[in-house]
Amino acid sequence: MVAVTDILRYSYKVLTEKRFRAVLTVIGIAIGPLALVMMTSVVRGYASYVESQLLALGQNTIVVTASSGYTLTDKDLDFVKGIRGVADAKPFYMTQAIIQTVEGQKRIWVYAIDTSILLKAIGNLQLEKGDFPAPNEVTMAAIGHFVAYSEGTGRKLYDLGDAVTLLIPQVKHGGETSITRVVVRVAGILKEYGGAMFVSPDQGIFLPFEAGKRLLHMNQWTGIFIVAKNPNYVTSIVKKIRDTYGEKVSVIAFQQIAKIVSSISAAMDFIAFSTSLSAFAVAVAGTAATMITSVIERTREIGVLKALGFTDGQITAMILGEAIIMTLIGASIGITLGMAGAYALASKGLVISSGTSRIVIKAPPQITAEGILMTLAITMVVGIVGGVFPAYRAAKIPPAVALRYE
Amino acid sequence: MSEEGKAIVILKDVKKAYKVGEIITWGLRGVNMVVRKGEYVSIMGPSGSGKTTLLNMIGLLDKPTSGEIIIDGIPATKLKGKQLAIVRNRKIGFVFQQFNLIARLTVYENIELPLIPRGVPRRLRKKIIIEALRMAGGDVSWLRKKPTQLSGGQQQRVAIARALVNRPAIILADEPTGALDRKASKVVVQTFKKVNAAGQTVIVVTHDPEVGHCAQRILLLRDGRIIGEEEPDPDKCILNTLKD
Repeated sequence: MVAVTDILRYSYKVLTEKRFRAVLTVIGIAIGPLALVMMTSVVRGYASYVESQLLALGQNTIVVTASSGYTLTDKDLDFVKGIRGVADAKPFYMTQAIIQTVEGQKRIWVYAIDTSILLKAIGNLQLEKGDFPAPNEVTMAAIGHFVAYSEGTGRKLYDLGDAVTLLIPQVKHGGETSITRVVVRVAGILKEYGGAMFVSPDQGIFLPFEAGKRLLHMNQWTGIFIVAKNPNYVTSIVKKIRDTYGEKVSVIAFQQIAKIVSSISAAMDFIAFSTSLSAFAVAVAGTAATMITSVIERTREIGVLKALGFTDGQITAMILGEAIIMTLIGASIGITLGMAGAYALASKGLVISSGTSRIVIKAPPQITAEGILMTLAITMVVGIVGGVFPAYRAAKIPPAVALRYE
Repeated sequence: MSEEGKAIVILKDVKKAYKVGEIITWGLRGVNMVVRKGEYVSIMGPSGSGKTTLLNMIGLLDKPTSGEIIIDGIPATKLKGKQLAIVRNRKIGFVFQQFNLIARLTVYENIELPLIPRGVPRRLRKKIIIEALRMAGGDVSWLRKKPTQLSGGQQQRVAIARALVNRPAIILADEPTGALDRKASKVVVQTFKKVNAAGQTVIVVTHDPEVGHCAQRILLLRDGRIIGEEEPDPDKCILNTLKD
């Protein structure tokens, strides 16, 4: 019985003889695991982040917004409240505004919404200090964490009782724009929420619902926040609204978006995996080319080994050993660089821009032991597939023929 | 005991044909020979007479087109892959004209090679390797060197040590002095004599009469056939023709 250590020692010696070629092959092999680990972990990281944020907004939450040309009214609100499974529904106003801070201008979201539904709809929304304004305190606001504090330095920008001037761009009839100046006073400061999807508590200012009309001078509700009794009702509620209103309204159910994001991320995961496979295909070809060259160069040596009593299986193991050693080194380098690359890529953040809105998602890459093992397994298969043919070819050379080889 | 009973190598009507396209070339045209245990035999003949082909048959490196080969009582023509490798490893030690040492390996590692398929534990190998190298007339100081750091004669002694390390019953040498000067050739022949005296069978293929006449028996090969035997003349042996 031949010791595995003898086989590996011999294989290693062969590789060290042609170092440059072995290094190039290892680099070729490393590209596959590097690409796979980097791309899939970053995609999965973003997907996981987006899904968790959506679900944190409330799996029971549905938002209905009016399409252009349609105005939501009390009649619509009553209809929504009457749908089976709806626990609560409240209208809200929403607009963008600019505030001036010591660090310069800052773009924020302003919501005029009933506090009770806000807290039901957005899970874990908590006050750091102060309180939410009472329904009739239309000039009082609860402000998001990064309205009160600098996002970069943590420096305090606004405190309780401070006045915040909101510059609200408005489009009048005929396309003319104007800026409305509104001053609100800080009643409460929210704890950092961390979410940045669709509703941005950290970059938001929350006013009582009445402020939408009286302070922001908005004539139409932006939409209706709906809270279902439990997540199982969400699909049927969404269906009922869509069936009734058709294109007149847009319906956003965070639970459903989370499912869509999940399926999109699965598709992206597959694309990343497929893209990586092309790198693996190159690695197979590279390994095979190296090993075939190596076998041809050592034909006579293989003949000597056979003359000395090495079996076909032992010759195969030696040649495969070379491929496996290169693959293990390539996989280790590729996976390590892939992990480093994933963190570097994720640190840049994913920028989603739409008109004047800009969201930067920063999510750590999702690197799992399962993913690493899968990458390692694929890379090992690559090495073995690349090495099998040359090894088989080497083993099948008749010793007398091999010894005559010049 | 019959002649075949003491025989270690028996070839019965061994033929070997090489086919290139439609053309068939006969390497061996029906060789019958017997080598007894402990013999020192030379096989001599001109280039193209089939010496190397015959040695490849005896060494189980090639399969005959027809005929039977028996090595130390084992009907080798009936063996396949792994069994053939085991017989080569245990029964036969090869010495080649061009030494065929592996340049990247040290002398130690080259001599160690036959011990690997035999499964000899690493802790036991060093002693065996040193013993084989000394038997071949080598020096322990060579063990860490690469073959290219040694002279041709020294490399051939390493190759002989590699052939001896498994203590095979038969040493097969194919033109072992073909790449050496006379002085180095004499050392090789001295080694074969010593090995033979220790009981191992030595079969040397050579076209050099000074090497061939050192054997106990000379088989003459022509056109793929054993055409007869020649009585060795010790006065023509390099051990006597080349004085120290």
